[in-house]
Amino acid sequence: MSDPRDHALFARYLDGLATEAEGAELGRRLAADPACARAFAEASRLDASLGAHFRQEKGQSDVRAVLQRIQAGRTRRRIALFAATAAAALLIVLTPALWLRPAAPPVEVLAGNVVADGAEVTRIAYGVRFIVPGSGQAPLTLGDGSGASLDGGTAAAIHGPSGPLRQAVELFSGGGDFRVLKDTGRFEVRTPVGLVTVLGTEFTVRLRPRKPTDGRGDEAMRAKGMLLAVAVLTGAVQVQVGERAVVLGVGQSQVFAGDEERGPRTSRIGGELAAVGADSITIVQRGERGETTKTLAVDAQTKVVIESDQTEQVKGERGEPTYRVKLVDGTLGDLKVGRRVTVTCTEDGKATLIVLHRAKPRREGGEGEGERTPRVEKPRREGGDREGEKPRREGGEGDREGEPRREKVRTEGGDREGEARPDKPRREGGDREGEKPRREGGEGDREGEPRREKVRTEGGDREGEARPDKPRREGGEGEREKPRREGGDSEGEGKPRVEKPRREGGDSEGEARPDKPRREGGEGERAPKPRVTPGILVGVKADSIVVRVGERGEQTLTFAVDAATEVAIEGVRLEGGGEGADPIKRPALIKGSLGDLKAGQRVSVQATADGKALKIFIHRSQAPKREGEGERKHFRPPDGGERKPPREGGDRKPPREGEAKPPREGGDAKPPVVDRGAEF
Amino acid sequence: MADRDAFLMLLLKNEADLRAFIGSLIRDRDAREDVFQEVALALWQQAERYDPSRPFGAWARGVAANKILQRRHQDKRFPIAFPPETILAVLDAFDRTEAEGPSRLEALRHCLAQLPEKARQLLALRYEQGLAVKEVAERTRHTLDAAYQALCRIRLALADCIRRRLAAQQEGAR
Repeated sequence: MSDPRDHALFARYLDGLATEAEGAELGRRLAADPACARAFAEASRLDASLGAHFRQEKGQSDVRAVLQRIQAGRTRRRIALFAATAAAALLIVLTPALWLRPAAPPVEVLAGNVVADGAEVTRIAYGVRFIVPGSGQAPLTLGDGSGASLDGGTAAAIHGPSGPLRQAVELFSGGGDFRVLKDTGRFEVRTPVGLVTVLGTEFTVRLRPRKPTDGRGDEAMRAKGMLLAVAVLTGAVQVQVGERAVVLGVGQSQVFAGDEERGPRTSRIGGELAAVGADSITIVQRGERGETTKTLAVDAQTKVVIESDQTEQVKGERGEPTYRVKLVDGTLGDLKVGRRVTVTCTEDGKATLIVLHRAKPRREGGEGEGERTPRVEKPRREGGDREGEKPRREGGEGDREGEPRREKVRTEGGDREGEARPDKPRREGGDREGEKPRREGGEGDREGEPRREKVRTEGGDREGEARPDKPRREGGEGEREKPRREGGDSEGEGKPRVEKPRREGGDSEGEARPDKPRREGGEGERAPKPRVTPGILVGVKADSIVVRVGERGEQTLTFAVDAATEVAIEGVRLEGGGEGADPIKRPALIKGSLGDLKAGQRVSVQATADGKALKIFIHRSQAPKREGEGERKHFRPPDGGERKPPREGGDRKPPREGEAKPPREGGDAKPPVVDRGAEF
Repeated sequence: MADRDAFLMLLLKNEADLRAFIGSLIRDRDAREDVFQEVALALWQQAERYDPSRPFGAWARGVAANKILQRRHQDKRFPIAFPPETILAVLDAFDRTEAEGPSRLEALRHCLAQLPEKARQLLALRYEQGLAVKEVAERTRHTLDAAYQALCRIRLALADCIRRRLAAQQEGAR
């Protein structure tokens, strides 16, 4: 019996309630402790068995029906047929095949109820939509002599010969068993998901809602998307789903997913409008790899929405208040060159949704476009670690297709949430372990601006070089209310700086850094703010912690802690996963305690000027260890080369014999392969 | 393995366990169904490569693990919470705790029958109707935490009951 806490973790994970931090913790526990992994396997088996058991109970009547029919000799096939039917069961489909006698055309209803045009019918004309009400099957003889036994709840229409086509069954919902006579001409079963073409065979076709629904009608199916299950008892069929064609042979079955739910594959592009035409727009993306231009087609179907200056409070999935930029409908006429947009487009380059972002807030004398963005909801302070504030993630993880990220508008630093950033490729390892949480409001994180990799520590003169040992200037320029923009304020290009440059945390007058524009923040006297120091926890004592700061960890700081020191653990919780939709990862802060502090954690310490820690934020990612401290290597090679992500799980046991080593987390390495005699 | 019928029976016999393995790693219903179908297809297509002298379940799980690793590698948004080393650890754990098939299912049925009706109803909401815990809570007018705790207690009781029953069966067999 493993730790009860493990079981609680298993349960939360299996019930879809685990936060990302809990998921990560579970992952670590499973990898590190075989006993825990075995207990997890048992818990997973029980969970799956319960699902199978209850579903089986629900569908047992179908199985009984099959057995009864086989026993009653209503089918000519014996074991082979059962085996083939079992193949169908593997992929959800499980119904008997009926043998039907040919009858006169067009379509004869041999038994059961069939309703067309509101009346029960015994013959069905071609092209007429009909339904099979109730739960029983309705065996039909089609015009070409083939048979179909349609399930209760099926809506269909049957079409007669046309060119090379001799018979077609158009299935709107439901399904049935088909026995197609060998003859010249094609026999088709058309479904919203795909087309099944046969020459002479016996097979079943079922349309299933992708997700459980209360209704069985086609409306419910359309709403939820469909699955097409095809099982072949004899002969062969070809199933065409989109551009993909699959041939299924005897005993084979497969379920195909419809595209309705997912819609066509789309991608999002963010950038600046370089040209706006009647039927196309051109977007310039400026990123770390330079500038790229994309032209996308637009038409009347292209939806345009505009970020308004207002925000709205909506309820999150757990009822928590969430703020987002209010979007208002716009038109193609609202698109103006120079404006920043995020465009959802199809693979063939057609824009389906254009989100017109607000103009950048003006800074320092109004270089912006004049639309000053109001401060809304929880402005970030330096370090961005205000309690309750969601840490920013990079790359829009968990963003739904077609929806811009717009939760919580952050105006300072120009790094507004809500700005979808599809143009920036996700960094390997980003959003997962190893990713650095964002700090400092607005590190050049706008469309087209490269994002600084380095973490700036408070008090440092240079990026990544903290200077925490120097006393802060108390009540200095009062600018610490505002986050310092790093990476340049692109809107201020070419503009003289109005205020004298300030050296962040530095004492020496005259050591200004003119290349670092400072945001307008007023020179008023303000109370000293606690500063936030990001770093790596290297020591934890009862009354103090030691934090290594700086990109290279060249300095350490000691902060006093006491019972009043708050601890918050950064995590991400998954929402909405498991019920059809891809889970959405949302940042979350979990209240922790001093006991949660462990050496090696990446933390941000909010402390008073005299070194007393007020709040400690434990970040998700593990800190890279310095050379000589463990298996992990530092982020930056000594030669100053490109930073590589840390190897995740570096302290785990080596893989078993015959197994490849796991790839670097988020790296380009191929995944490990379990060699059990199968190819992929 | 040339005998397709026998292979099919093996596949069916191991389906639940294979689903359990995939489901333990992928909680998103659609994604795990997709992976299961890919795996089932891969197994079917590679039936010839299966060595009947080796446990089918382990082979199938190996194929599944590779599929998952592959998907995870190809699609960074693939909804899986675990890194590769955890996937391999879970694979190993499943191999070491190979399900015992029918006797286990029988034990589960027996233990489910012992549960109070209310508990069975709760499980039915969760597993038969496939509701999320939140939805179960709404249906039963409980808080999310209460529904979650109730489900936890029921499952722990079931796991304990199954363990005891299997142990008793083994004792009886001796």
